[in-house]
Amino acid sequence: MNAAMLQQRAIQRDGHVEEFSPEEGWDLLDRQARRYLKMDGEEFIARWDAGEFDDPDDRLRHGPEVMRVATLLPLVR
Amino acid sequence: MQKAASCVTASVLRPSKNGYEVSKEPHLLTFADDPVELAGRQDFALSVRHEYRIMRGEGLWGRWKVRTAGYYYELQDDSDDEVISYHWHPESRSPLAFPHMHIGVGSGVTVAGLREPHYETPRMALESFLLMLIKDFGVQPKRDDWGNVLRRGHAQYEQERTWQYHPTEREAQPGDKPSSW
Repeated sequence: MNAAMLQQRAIQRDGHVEEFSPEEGWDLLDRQARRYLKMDGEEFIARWDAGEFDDPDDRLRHGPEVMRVATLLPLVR
Repeated sequence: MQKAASCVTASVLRPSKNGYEVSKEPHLLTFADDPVELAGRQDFALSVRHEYRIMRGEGLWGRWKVRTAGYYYELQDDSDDEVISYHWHPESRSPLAFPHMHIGVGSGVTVAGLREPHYETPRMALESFLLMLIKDFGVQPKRDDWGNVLRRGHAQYEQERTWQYHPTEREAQPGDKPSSW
């Protein structure tokens, strides 16, 4: 059994892969908002909810960064 | 999907909270350390988001099924630039409901106008995307049986998916210009 398989086993319990906790989900979204959009997760969500990113995949207005962060919203909703 | 991902990364695709339950809102599968490194190509990284719902099939004894609600598969370079990505996001704010791909800055493409469009594609399975990374982008597989794993996973996906999309089925959007299709 190689290292990859051992790591995968460590995150499984009762045949299920461990879910994100709310804290882990928030951490990932916040990290990626800071990394790609130079804002923290709270600011991104506030601006998202205010409708600022009406088309997150509009490449004429911005690159892939908004989609990268927006696709993580299910982790925190 | 996790088995497929294990062909290229030691990282684990994990579901969002309550991701094993029936829910009106889609769940998400992604890596906690997204984007993840790829063996053989330290200049690349992989990002995966896969939205799904758990649903029951029709009839009294309908079989439980996981139904894809959207996906986002991206190859990035070590400057965080997009190289190539495949998307399908029919439930997002974007008006585009068809599966498509993007060519990013990280691809090195400099021809004007090639990085903005949403190139229509058939629906993309994660197995197909990972196979492309191995065969066309020099990513080294992390398990010896990668070919069988990806092939079987793709076969199962083909057998169980409930819809197919072909680029000719694209509906004209307001403002679309006449095209050859």
